[in-house]
Amino acid sequence: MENKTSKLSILLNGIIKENPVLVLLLGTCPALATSSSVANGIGMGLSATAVLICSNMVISLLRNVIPDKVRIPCYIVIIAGFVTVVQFVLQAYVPSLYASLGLFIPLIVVNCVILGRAEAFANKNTVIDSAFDGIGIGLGFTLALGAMGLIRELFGAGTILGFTIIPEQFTVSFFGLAPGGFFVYGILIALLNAATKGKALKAKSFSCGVCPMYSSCNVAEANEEILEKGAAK
Amino acid sequence: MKNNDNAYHNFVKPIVVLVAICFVVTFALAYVYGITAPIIAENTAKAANEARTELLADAKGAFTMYADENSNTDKLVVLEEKKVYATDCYTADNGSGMVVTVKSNSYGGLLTAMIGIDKDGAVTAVKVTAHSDTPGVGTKAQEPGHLAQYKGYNAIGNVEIKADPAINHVSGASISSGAIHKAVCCALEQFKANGGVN
Amino acid sequence: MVNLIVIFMAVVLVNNFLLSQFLGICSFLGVSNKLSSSVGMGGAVIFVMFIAELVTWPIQQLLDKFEIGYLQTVVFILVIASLVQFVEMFMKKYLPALQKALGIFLPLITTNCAILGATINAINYGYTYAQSIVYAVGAGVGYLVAMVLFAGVREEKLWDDSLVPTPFKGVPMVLISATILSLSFMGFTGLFQ
Repeated sequence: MENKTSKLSILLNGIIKENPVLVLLLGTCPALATSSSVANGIGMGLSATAVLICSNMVISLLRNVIPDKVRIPCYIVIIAGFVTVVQFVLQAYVPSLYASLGLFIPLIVVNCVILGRAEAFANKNTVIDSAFDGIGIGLGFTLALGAMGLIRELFGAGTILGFTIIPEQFTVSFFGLAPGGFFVYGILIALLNAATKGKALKAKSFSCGVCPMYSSCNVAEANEEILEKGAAK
Repeated sequence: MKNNDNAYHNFVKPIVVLVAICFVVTFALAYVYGITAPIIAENTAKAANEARTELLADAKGAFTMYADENSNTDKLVVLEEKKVYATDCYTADNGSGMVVTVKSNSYGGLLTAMIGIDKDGAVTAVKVTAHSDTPGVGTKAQEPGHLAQYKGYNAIGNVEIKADPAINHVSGASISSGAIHKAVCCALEQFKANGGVN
Repeated sequence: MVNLIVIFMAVVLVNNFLLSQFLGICSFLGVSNKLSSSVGMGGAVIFVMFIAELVTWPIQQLLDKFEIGYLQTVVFILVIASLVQFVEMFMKKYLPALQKALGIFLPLITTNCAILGATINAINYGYTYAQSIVYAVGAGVGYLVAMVLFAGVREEKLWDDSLVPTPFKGVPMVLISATILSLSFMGFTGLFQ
């Protein structure tokens, strides 16, 4: 019984408490680029979810085989393999989605959500738990992209999934364009802040701490160095 | 002994594991590619056929390949070496005309245009199907209003758009409209080279 | 030649990687809080873009020759990742001054989608070798320009934080200022007709 609740909590954790896009601020590139319509946002979300579940499971399975030294390259190759499979499947069976997502399908490889989960969860947990984590985080990602897509498509093009809701003369094309992406993203985070009274967002500003490459990266050190120099002055 | 162990853990094992993973991934991809490749090819062919039908409705969707990049390549017209050339040519089964795909040098690389020509050698429609850059660069000349001018265009006045009295060039968009103009001229040359539609 | 200039200017201004194509946003928002680190990151991106393009374009020709173009994603990311490692080692040994300025940003770049994006784009657009390299360097320069501008905005503290409504403090305000910068770059649309 207790085991079941923990699976559920892993699942919910990814959707709400650790929503990758709105709370952890990961995967911002695809979130902004592919959320110009609901269909694109959800399509991107589900593609990334499929890759995430598969890669989480395989990495968890191989967690005792892969030497620590080459773990990042191994993860990248595994993820890239699954991304290419998703790319083929989309191209063969959903060519219209493939065409509209374009470059951002191969770029799932460098989506920090996926590599981040491999580092933070899959290489420490069992295959089943990792799969649930993949589903939860993936759904959270999809939900966030769908919500952004909904807002941007509704106000930008006046449609939802292609059905006209607002007549064309009342739409604001700004929402569908690049700046609209930043704007809607900002507003959504602010709304989440207001709804949870600032509890949702632990990190008050963008920091490198959530980046999967953080452990091997020296920017944080450099920043500290700069701060120290400033203090010395 | 201990030294050997270290060497194994530090060098041999990481390399072996990484190489093994790469191999497995490569074979898995080759397998999936084998399954999906024919479906993708079919989709592409279907989409191209739909595009041709759009340009030449009279053909009722039935076309036969006359020449493309894999066969009869020598029959394709090259207007300017590596800059303006036909990549494929399909004739309508009912003899109503042909559709030629041309690559032409524009801003930031080659653009791909499809040109429908009826049996009398007059252009039915022009469509830019691929552009080497994202929106905002060289797209003004692709607007339907400009492309509509080519309907009925049947004799090359001049391959340079500014010297051709039949077509108004888009002011401030001379490179991209010039590239499309050359593509149309190349398609008409292809029609001539085929000796019309039999 | 005109082609090369247009490709360069278009990717710097019209199709700016950060502000209109959303490639490399993580680092755009994460590192742009200080002008000095923005310049370092921008320099490192230009450098890695250049060498990555230098290597991946011939590799793609090789892949195409053996008809295994479908391995593109796997091969490119692996090549870029190892390339970054090699460059770091090389710089540490022979160019310590450059390593000091750019080196710290290099590991971060491996998973930066701007690099992989630029290399795949150059192949998809059917660019020649020269065009690809100009495109990649232009993408890097555009990255640097956007980073520096945005770091300027953030360092200046153009808004009074006490007047910002509580939910908007922090991240949302950063995103709203990115909106305005992105909006201003939209003015370049139509520069090349």
